Amino acid sequence: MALNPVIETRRGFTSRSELFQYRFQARGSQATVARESLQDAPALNEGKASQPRVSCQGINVTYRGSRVLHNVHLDVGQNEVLALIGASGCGKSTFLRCLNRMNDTLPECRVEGKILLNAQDVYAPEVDAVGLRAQVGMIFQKPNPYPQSVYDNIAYGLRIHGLSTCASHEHALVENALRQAGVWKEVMDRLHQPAYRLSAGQQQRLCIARALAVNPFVILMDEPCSALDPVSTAIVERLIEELREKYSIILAAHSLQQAARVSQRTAFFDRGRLIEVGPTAQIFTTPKETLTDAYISGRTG
Amino acid sequence: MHAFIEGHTFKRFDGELSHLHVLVLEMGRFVNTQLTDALLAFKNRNLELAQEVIDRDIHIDNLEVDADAEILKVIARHCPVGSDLRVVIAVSKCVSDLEKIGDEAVRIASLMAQMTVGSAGHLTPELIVDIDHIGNMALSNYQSAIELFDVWDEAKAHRVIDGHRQMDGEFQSELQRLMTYLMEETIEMGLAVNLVLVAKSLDRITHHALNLAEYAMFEIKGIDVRLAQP
Repeated sequence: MALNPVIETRRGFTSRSELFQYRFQARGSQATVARESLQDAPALNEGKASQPRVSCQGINVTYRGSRVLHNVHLDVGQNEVLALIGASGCGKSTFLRCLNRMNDTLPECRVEGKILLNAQDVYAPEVDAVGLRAQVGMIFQKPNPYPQSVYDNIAYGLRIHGLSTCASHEHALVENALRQAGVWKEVMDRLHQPAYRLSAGQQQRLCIARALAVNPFVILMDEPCSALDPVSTAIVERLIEELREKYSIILAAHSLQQAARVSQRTAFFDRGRLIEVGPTAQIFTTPKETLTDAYISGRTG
Repeated sequence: MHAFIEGHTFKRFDGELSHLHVLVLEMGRFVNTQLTDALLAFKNRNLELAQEVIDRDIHIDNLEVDADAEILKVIARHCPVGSDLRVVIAVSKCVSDLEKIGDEAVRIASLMAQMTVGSAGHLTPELIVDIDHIGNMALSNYQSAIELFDVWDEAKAHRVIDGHRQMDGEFQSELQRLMTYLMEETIEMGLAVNLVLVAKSLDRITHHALNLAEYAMFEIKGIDVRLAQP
């Protein structure tokens, strides 16, 4: 087995000779290397998430009598970005919407199976959907700020969930959320202007801040950059990378390059079925399934 | 060569990928001619043919430059992933190994020229037969390896990968034979050194052929067999 180049760079070799020495030693001790690399990157080396935060077991979704998701088993680990890829209508968004019970709002939609969020069943009768949606934040394709000021967009969630104790506390929480979303410096002087006056990229980060303000631990992103230009996209992607340190992120992406850039694991859906899930580097170099290879290389029309 | 399930939706990409393969095969064919001619020149002590081999090397270098430009273009334009990415990487590595095999052919041709001009009388028929024997082994290893890029054959790939070990053995016994000749003082030291260099070149060609087979394996099966050798 050749060594994983990603891991080699991570080890921070300062010179070629050092790297060579490492490789040379590695030839003699394959077993040690395999164990070490697993420790280095738990999420990268397995198709399964380590320490799952979200665990989905046998999810079936029927909408108006037709099956749109077939028996999906998928886990999301801590500090991991899981990318969902697949053609339009393959079930990515439906899957995302199961996680924060957004499908409840569709009367003809039936969800079966078990979704555990920190070992708690999301569909248990005692779970309050509004409280759940604070824990599972969602970002949509197009930025959708409320028709209010920048400040109120963030403060609204804090108020309805009763998270702030006084005005100055509220202000601190708003600032913190905007800072986490990397948009504070740009909006600090315009907090009381309508959110619509921000650029599309800033609006999207405002929406991310709004989700972060109510202390979620999972963030769902449904093609968060499809309405943004490359510069704003890069900023949001950098943000996703930073947010991974605190949150688990599930990202539905049409841009394969984006999925390849930001995610640790990638799941490929086709016509409502989960075809393959694995470390992103593996999915984009040596996918196990022919369907996956056909999709990522643009061979299905 | 690749078993496409169906072509790319964006048709031009198919064309550009198969063009890369065409370039490798073209280069492969040309390197094959160079190698065959170098061995033939050695066998028949044909100085003219040796010179031709040396002169034609520039063509391989040009092909390498062309292939590199094509590879860069495909990466920049299509951002290949999955099996396409493996094709591009394999082709890119192949091209540099092919160029090196071409260099070895030139080396054999020029060593032959030196030997013929310097001490022709001492190059005995047995020596020529010896070198020709390992030369043909190297050539057939190379040919099997390059054919893998035209028609994939897993058994053949494994044969090439195992073939280089056999070649190691042949190279060692050639050294032994030359040592014996030297001790018996049947050949001169200078000639012996040149013969060792020729044998070493042939040995390297087998190693490059091994690389080619490994790249083909990576391209088709997606597995890296380089360090998996026992």
